[in-house]
Amino acid sequence: MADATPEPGPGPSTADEPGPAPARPAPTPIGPRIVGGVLLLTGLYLLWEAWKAVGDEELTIISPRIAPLIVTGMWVLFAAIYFVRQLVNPTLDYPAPEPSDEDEDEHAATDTVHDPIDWKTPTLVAVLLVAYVSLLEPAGFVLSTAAFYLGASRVLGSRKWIRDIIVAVVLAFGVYLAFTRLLDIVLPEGVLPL
Amino acid sequence: MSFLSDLLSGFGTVLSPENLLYAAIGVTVGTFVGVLPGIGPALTIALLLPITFSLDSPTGAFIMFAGIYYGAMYGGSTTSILLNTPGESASVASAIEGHQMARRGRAKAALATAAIGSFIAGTISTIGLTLFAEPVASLAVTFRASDYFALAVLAMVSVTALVGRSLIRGLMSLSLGLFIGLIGLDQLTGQARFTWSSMELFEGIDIVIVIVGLFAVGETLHIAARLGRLPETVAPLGPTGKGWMSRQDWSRSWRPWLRGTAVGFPFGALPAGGADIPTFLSYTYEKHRSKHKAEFGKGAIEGVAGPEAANNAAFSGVLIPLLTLGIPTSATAAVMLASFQGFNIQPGPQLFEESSTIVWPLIASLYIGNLMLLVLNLPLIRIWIKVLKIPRPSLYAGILVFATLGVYAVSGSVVQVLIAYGIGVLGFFMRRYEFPIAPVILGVILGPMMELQFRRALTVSNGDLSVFYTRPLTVALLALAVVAILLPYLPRIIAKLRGRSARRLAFGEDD
Repeated sequence: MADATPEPGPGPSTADEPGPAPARPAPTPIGPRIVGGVLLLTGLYLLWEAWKAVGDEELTIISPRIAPLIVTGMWVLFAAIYFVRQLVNPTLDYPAPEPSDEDEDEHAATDTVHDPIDWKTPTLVAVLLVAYVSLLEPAGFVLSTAAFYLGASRVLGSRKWIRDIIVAVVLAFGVYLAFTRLLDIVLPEGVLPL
Repeated sequence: MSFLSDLLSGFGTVLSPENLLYAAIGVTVGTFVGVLPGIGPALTIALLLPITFSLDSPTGAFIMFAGIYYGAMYGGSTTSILLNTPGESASVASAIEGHQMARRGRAKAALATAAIGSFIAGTISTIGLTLFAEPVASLAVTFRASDYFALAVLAMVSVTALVGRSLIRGLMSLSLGLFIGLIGLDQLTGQARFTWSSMELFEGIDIVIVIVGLFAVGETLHIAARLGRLPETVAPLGPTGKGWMSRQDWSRSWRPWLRGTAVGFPFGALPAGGADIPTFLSYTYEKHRSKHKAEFGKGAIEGVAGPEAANNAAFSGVLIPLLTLGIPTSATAAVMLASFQGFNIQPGPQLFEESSTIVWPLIASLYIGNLMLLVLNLPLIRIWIKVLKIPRPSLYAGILVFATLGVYAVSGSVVQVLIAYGIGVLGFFMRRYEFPIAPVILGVILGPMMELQFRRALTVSNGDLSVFYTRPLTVALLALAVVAILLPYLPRIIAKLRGRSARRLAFGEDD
């Protein structure tokens, strides 16, 4: 989780602020500034770790401690530039979407940092994922996979229970049998007598 | 003419029923995946790795991978033409004209010129690969550690600078990738770096975990965050039009096909790789040269034919630095390198001597795969359109299952799966704030290689840094890296083109 732990930071913190409230287009998105700040702080921490690892060793050019210093140094430098740019003028990096609607080109309309973001769904998906992998070994592949598939497709907007249940069962059993019987890859058996 | 007999024996291997089956599976899976927006060949190959490691011979695996790659590109062009959502950035150019053609009821002609152009470009550039791979390999024998260091720098820097829209965000992504690559035990001295005393981190973070996290988990979270704004169902256009291509379509297509090939292959072969630049170059060129300039933006067939050919030609080109130098220049090439290493095969100058029983069948399978795709793609177009209609919740729930399965099968560890999820959260924020993904992948895989060669070069020279500025080849390569950083600022053509379509690029710049 080394590098993953610092980054999810902006998730919850920004979730508190913008949330569902502002319907009008925000003039300067706050997100990039938070990202920049988090990146810079993470970089400084990693640089400090790299420096700490040098300890009392003599720092020669072929020492294994050199590359960490260079890489984290680069990180800090680029994160600082990015952060300052966001503080000065985020629209420089993230130009506001021009309102020119080319007839019905809806498919091409992607989101930008200016669009509101739904934090709830990805958070739920992430929670489901963690639950899935925690249950993988105790409950077994088939049960946890079927349950996860049902939950995830529900969270992602499916409302067709019967179809989802059929797919979940077929997918879980099919993959399990294919992997363990045909490919000799071991998957957790769990509580089901398979 | 020894390569001819090598190639023939390669064909002999591929034409066995078993290997033909692998090729067929590869192109089918590849097309399937390519058609789905947002999922690229790199992820597919990464997910298939645990399966292939249980195969007896690596030959079948590589034949399948080559099929996946080509298939994914074909599939990508279908999606961009019918749906205007290019699955990968290299399809962006053809999405511009191709989708316009489809909207004017000329979908079939657009699909056909893309498929036939890809076939011709793929075949010609595979011939190029056949001819040039071995000479380049024998040249590469003379390369020293400092040259490899410079090559790795060049590949990383140029992909970072030329892919994506913001240099600073690209460099940030690259730093992240280099950092992930550092985690684990140092290759030369065995000292732990950034492991926080965790046993799980001692072996480092596998490229498969990084790719599955960034692409599968990251993309799904990204989709989840904007479900409300996405249209409920996708509505691809039908394959409209009478017949595939008219006589006029042929006569307007064949020159762009050849020109696209001529641009795509050398660009792919440079260790600055990727298919994006040649496709945009080809598009720009066709636009300026065309007698039908007015049609551009409204569905000019040249604007589909050229970029699609360039796209396919670039892939065979990318295989040259991958096979002869062991330097991957795209995310997909990086996974292929990982799979080679999984079978204990080290791509590089010696590959053609030591593993010719694998390399030549791989090359032969490129010819076969191309042919298979031509047969598979056009007649089965209605099936591929159905793939586009898989409901989004089912599709992404399934992708998450396969992502978890893939990482678990390759590592057998719950912690590694959690690491992949964590990287997926990173990938989500990267997509949200438009940080490019490809530099991360290249950083993870090229970073350790670069450091190793750097220290090797200095060990040989007794710590004298002059090895990096006295050897002409090293200097030339490093100078090219500097040029690559400056290049985007000189001609604004690419930027201008991208300004139009760049927003799609963050979607799947996996290749």
